[in-house]
Amino acid sequence: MNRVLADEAESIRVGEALGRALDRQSAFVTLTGDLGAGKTTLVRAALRSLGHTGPVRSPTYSLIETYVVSSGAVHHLDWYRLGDDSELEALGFRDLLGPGQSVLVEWPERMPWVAQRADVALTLAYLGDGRQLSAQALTPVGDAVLAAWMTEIG
Amino acid sequence: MITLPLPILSTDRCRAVDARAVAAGVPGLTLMHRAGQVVVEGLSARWPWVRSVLVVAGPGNNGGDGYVIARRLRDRGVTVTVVAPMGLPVSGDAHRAYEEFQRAGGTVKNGETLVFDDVQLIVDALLGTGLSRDVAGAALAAIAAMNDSGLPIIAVDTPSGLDTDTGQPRPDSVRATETVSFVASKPGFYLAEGPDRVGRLTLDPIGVPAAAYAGERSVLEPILPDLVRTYLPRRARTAHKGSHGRVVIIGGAPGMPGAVRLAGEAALRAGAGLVTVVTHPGHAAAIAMARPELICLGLDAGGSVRAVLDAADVVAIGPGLGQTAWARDWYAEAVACGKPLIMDADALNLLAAEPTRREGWVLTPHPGEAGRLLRSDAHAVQADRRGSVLGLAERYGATVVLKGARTLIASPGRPQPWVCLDGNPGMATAGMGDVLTGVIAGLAAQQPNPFAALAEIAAVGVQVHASAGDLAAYASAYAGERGLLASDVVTALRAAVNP
Repeated sequence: MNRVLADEAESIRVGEALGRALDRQSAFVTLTGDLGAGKTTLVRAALRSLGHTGPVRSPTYSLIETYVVSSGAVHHLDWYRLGDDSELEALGFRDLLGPGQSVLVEWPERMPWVAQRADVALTLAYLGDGRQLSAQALTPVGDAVLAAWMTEIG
Repeated sequence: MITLPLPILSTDRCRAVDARAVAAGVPGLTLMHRAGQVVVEGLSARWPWVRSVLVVAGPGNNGGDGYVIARRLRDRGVTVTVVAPMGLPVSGDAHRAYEEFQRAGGTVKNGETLVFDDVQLIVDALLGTGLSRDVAGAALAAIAAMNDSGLPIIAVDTPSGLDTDTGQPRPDSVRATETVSFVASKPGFYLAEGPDRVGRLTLDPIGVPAAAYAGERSVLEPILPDLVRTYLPRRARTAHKGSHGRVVIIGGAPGMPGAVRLAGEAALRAGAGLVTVVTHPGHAAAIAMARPELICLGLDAGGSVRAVLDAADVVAIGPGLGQTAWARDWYAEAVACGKPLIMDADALNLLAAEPTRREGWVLTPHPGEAGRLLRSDAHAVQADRRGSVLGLAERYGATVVLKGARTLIASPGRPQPWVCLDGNPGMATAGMGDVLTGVIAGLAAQQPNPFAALAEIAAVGVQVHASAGDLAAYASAYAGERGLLASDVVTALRAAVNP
């Protein structure tokens, strides 16, 4: 799926649709994009649509932020400061990949051997005043997420 | 559901298409450039975070694709390391692609062992299709090293070391995360170990003109959504249960009520109007209580099922049947009855012991049963799944469903087997075959003339079963392959039979 997000309102609308899609089909999603490309905007909108009302913090220093929502949990991770597998293990990562739990990972390239199990690869890039969103399915679960996402966007 | 726009062709036929494209004025080097471009575009889209790639390039045309990929990735600012464990290309288009890479400033680590420091993804362009001998030496070591790296691997055209005609690793092959294949799909991707080695498959014609495919026929035919929809139309608003056929399922030896119950429920979920289970009297009541929509008939040895069979539109026999005298009597009656017949499990073992031919039947063996039916063994069947399913169809005059990863369906008079592209490893569990038997019987019962269309109905049944398996594994609230039960698939059938 490729889509131009003309402004922030559109980014929020598409992000909310992503939240509802993940509510239907939980998944492991990688997030790629330069600073300010809108990753946090997308994640915040997804969490809002899942009923989360509190703050949404960047996981840059905490490494993981977990949000409990009605359908389960959403884990937002930043792997930039991770050194090796053992640190991922220490975060309990293997327990995060389960039914009803979605995992959104920034800086997946730090752990390619883990990131290759992702269901969806999501990219945001600057495009004039807006953003170019690309989402590619890598697994059957990813196919289901993209189908649900497109339905939710309408 | 995957649909294939491209045929599945053997190595020889693929080469013939390539040759026609070149004769029609598309130079080989142009095809190589396009192949490389397709891989790079796919890599950038699906692996957007990858900034450092190791390209393992062979000396032949597959390696040539690798040099194009390496050059294009460098153009995009990706850090690229190229290793050539089998040496550099010395002639032809591959050599030109190497020279282009070199002129663009690329360097090759010739013959060095693979080092994966800071590598985020491997491009496997070591060996292509048409292996002339088993892989050995540095190439075999490189394949093992790629697999052991734990990194994502994109295979170019085919995973290196895989026999693309048979699906056998020779003797080892790359286990790719995804394979980007060109011009046509390859039978080895669907046979033997192939499904485990190709990963996610992407196909691209790389600009080969349609005329170059003239006269070529896919050696396996994917079951297309159109076929499924043909046999699962929207129901008439005036339908009644008599419109949807009567199924009789025979099975369930003492102590084995589960298999025949699953088959019965699956026939109902596939849409049959009435389903009668003929089983051992010891547990007939238990099945009826667990699933009240089933009619359960408990019969002792010596009783006759003829009257029940006479009332059926379709008969299935085998789930939990056993091979006792009780089973043999009913087996003989089922084979002799003039109704469309689905045979599974112990019914197939009884058939193997005393082969016969019959009109209008479907056999649904797993590789072990297929081996017995062919007087060989499961290993030989797996080594040649396509030949085996065609041979079985011919020998027994039957539509044959050879179960396994990428189930094949063959029928006398049809030159090519169908191949099912869906389903998942979660379905390799007890009872899943019983569900398939019930589905095929249930679908056949809904046809006005099941005899005429038994082969297509079997193919549609396999597809519906696989789609339901995928729905149950991936689209449910409690998703996952491991722990998937046959009962979960029965539940998901309703969505799959209402496309």
